[in-house]
Amino acid sequence: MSQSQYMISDTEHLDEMGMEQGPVVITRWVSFTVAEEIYALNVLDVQEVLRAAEITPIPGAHPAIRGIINLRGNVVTILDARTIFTLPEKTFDEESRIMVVELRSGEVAGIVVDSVAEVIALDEDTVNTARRGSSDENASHILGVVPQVNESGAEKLIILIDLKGLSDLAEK
Amino acid sequence: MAFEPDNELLQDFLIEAGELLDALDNQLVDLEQAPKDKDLLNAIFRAFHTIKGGAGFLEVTPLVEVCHRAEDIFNLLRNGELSVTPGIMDVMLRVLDALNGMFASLRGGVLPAGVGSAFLHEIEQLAHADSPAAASVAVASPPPAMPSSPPLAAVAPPVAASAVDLAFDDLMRDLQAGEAKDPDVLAASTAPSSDLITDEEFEALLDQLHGKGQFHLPEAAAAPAAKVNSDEITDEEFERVLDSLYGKGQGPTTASTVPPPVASPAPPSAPPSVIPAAKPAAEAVKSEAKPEVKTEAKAETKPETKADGKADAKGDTTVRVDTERLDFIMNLVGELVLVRNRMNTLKLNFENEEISQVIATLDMVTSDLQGAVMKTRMQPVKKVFGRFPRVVRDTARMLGKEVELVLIGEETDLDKNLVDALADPLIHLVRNSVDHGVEMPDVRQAAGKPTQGTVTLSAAQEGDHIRLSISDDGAGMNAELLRRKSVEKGLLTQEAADRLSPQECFELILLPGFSTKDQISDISGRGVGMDVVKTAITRLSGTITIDSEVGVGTTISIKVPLTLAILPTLMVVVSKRKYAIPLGIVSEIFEMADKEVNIVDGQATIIVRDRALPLYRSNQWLALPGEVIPTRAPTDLVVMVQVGAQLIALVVDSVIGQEEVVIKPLGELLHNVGGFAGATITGDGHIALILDLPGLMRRNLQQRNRPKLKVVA
Repeated sequence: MSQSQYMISDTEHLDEMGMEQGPVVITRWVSFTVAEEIYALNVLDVQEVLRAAEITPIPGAHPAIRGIINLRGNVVTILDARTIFTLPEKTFDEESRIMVVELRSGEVAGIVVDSVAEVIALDEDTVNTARRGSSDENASHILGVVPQVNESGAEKLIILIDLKGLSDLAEK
Repeated sequence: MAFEPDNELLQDFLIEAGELLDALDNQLVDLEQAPKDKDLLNAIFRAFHTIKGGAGFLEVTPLVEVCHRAEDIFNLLRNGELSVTPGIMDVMLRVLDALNGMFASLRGGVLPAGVGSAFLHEIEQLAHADSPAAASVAVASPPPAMPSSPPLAAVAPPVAASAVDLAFDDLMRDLQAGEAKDPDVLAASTAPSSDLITDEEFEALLDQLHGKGQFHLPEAAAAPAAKVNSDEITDEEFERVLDSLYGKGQGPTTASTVPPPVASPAPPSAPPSVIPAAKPAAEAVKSEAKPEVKTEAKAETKPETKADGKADAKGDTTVRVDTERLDFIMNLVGELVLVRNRMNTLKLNFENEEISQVIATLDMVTSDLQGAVMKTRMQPVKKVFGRFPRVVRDTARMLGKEVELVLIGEETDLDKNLVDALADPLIHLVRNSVDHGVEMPDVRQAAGKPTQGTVTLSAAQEGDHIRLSISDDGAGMNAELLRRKSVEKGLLTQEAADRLSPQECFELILLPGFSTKDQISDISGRGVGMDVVKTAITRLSGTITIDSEVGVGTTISIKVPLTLAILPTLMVVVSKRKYAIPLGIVSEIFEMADKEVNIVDGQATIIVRDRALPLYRSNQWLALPGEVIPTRAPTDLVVMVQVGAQLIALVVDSVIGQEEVVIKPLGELLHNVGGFAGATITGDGHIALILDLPGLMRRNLQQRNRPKLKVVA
């Protein structure tokens, strides 16, 4: 099985990448795409990212559950981000990744996303400003929206995902 | 030392005293059967005493309060000053319940609340209940907190004056000094004194008194005195000292007189007798010592001391291991088994003799390792059985029945997880047997049976399975009645009911629909919660069978695998995916090819050796959304599986073969998906789902909403 993964929960490693702690509190986020939109999960929530894995389907399971994989001897349930966000399905391709996270229940699960882009640093203030005041029941998995200017100068919105809300959604 | 929940000593105490408590449960019930058993009385007494000692050290005052009083009562009992009555037993069993409750809260890291003075008083009152001998003691004996300083101080002078040796004086001084230093201890009226003077020490004093007064045996007195002065005297040490004394004692005086005072190491709770004895000084000591001495001599026999010694020696060779660690090891071994399976698969790709040999060795070693690790997890089934004397006693007493419980094969070993998981279903079944199986004494007499019913609980290993059976000699079940009931309840059609064999009728009680109370008296309750029992047993990959004869009794047999960690399975392919069927339920595999399939009442049915079996296509059951289900193919194979009481024929695409798999639980996200017992990693590194056929059947038949098939599930 060709399971390659790069650990990104290792903060020291990130510092080597040139992201020293400044006077402002910086949080790091893993950005990923699902249906052309950019999302981001807090780096501390993500255990690892898998390139490809053989997903064994579970007959009779909830549509959001793609199946299970063998992660170094452990059976891990795989969810589909597209189904969770009620988007049309897409088959697993070269760019597809499984983000392994620990849900609120303590269960380790994988989420299939279209691609994983990079680790971005946001200062706490930006995140707090973005944090939505209201608690919309249907979008409890969205923590907030942060505008980000990419290299070509275009502005793109990054949707910050709240793992707690995502857990609720996944458990429904 | 204040109460610290994280104290390591507390953890040790909980484990050891917990074992004592478990044993007490049985011992108390045994005692009811043999109220005069001195060994038993001593054992119970010692257990209470040991728990009290530990609790005192850890300052768990509520525990001490209760144990202390219970100990007092048992001291009277074993000295023959009280005799065992049902009243005492009831209170003592309640004491045990209270102790269990306290242990539970201690395990939770909370200092338990006291049981209330009313209950404590009730225990104390037991001492006054009967026997003239007890009366005098009770009057003289101060409340159990007795060895606190005021009474002692009052006692000391006369004792000293009556020419008891210096060691005693020293001790008294130590004591008083110690108590004076710690005013808190003085203030608290109940347990704390146990820190300062333990009952053993007190007993030693008594022994010295006796020894001195009666036999003038200075060496004998000196040895315990030395021990007494050290605060950390343990039971064993004391026993040893006494043993050595025992030997010495025989020399200087006659054998008949010396052993008694010496051979009474355990009667630590002398309090009630010590104080009255000491007060009236030496003469009183002499006169009162004699009767007491005799009973104790009988009680504390030599072989018992030896047995204790043996237990100690054995204790040195064992290590307590956290079950979590064992589970971890088991998991690793499971991984190793998978690697081995994979190696075995790969071996076929190499033509190399050497590789084959190495792999064969690996195969063997892994199997041995698997067996050895499994053994470490084995526990005697006694651990579960141990609860039953109490369950039977309580249930029988509540119902006014006379029931004897016979335990067979208690030493049979079972995987720890199974031992734990079996406890509840078994309790349910045993209670059922007493409640609904065994008749009331007068009914039994009328039927020409002995008034006392018998419930037999047995365990035996059969190959890689354990068979547990619960049988009673009660009224039995009437198959006809059950058959009628199932039709009345709409669970079966009349025709289906008529076709059932008597045994299949009995198994109807396992159906959820049967677990209601509005049933005819002689089967009433038999079904209550039986489906719960069945579910629990099924979850353990076990099977349950019922046999009964009207007027003779009922036997319920449970068959469970030895271990849950590794499961022998049959690997099959369905819609190009691999699934594992637990091998235990597979009875036969045959080719579908030319078999005729009939549709009976909308249900595909196949005839196997003149028996009609319902036929199900697994690719329908295991279809993914949007998948096209192929129809019958000439290569189809049929696997006959036992689902509950029913044999069914399951069509699969192909059969790979037998494979031992390690069950990996599915995540919580998948818990509401019925039909899978877990997953496993196959020899080639893929994942295969392990089928839970009863669950799978239920799910699929419910989906199609065909209630009349319910009975099949």
